[in-house]
Amino acid sequence: MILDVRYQLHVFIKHNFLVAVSSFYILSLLSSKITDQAQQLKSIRELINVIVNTKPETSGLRFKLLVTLFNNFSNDKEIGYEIFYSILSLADELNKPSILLAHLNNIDEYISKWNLSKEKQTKLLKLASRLINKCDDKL
Amino acid sequence: MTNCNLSMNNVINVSFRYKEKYGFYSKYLRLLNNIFDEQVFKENVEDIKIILKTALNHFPYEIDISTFLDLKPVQEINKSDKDLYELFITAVEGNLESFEKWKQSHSSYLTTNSNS
Repeated sequence: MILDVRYQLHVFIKHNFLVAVSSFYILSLLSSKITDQAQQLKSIRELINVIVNTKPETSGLRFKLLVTLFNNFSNDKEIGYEIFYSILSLADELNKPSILLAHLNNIDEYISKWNLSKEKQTKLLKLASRLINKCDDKL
Repeated sequence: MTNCNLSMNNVINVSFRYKEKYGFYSKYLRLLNNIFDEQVFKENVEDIKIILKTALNHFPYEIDISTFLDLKPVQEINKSDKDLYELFITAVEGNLESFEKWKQSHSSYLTTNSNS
């Protein structure tokens, strides 16, 4: 079902904020019910791709949708990391790092929770530090 | 009156953001310390320098940078940028006069991309 309706998200994002958020919420809930983990990962990655590849004028909505996904899957070791990295990448791409400050201050908890490999830790920290260094730091 | 309130709000917001930023720096350096090796240092050295310069830009206000010296990512900066490391030591040791003198004679040294 997720695979059948997912393509509609592009249309929703363009035309109706509330419909997009509602639809996405339902899709992410449905994704969480998939018992086959490989299939679940595939579905979530496809949802992330839809958001990441949406046009820039919907940046606020893109954040909102990724955060919705994150809130549903942040406890999953593999996908939680991937969603969080996508959120940071989007903030970096759109030059909007400051809205993530609060999340970045939880980064040690996330790394511990997801039991990340050294490579993933380095990659995540590198992106996070680039974002934080973009924030205004005047007293 | 309105302008005054706005200014005060700005000060509070920016100060709060700086504290969060410093909180992240502290965690970032400690996390790097946990996985530290030559490759990690190589990949992160420029970010570490920005962090130290930012901390020094705010020194001595609202910041305790002395604990950073226990961390390998900071210690290794000595090999990559001796001036920065020595200035950092000067600040940590609390030698404010030397610190200010050095800062004045190197006015653009502590500039980072984030200090626009």
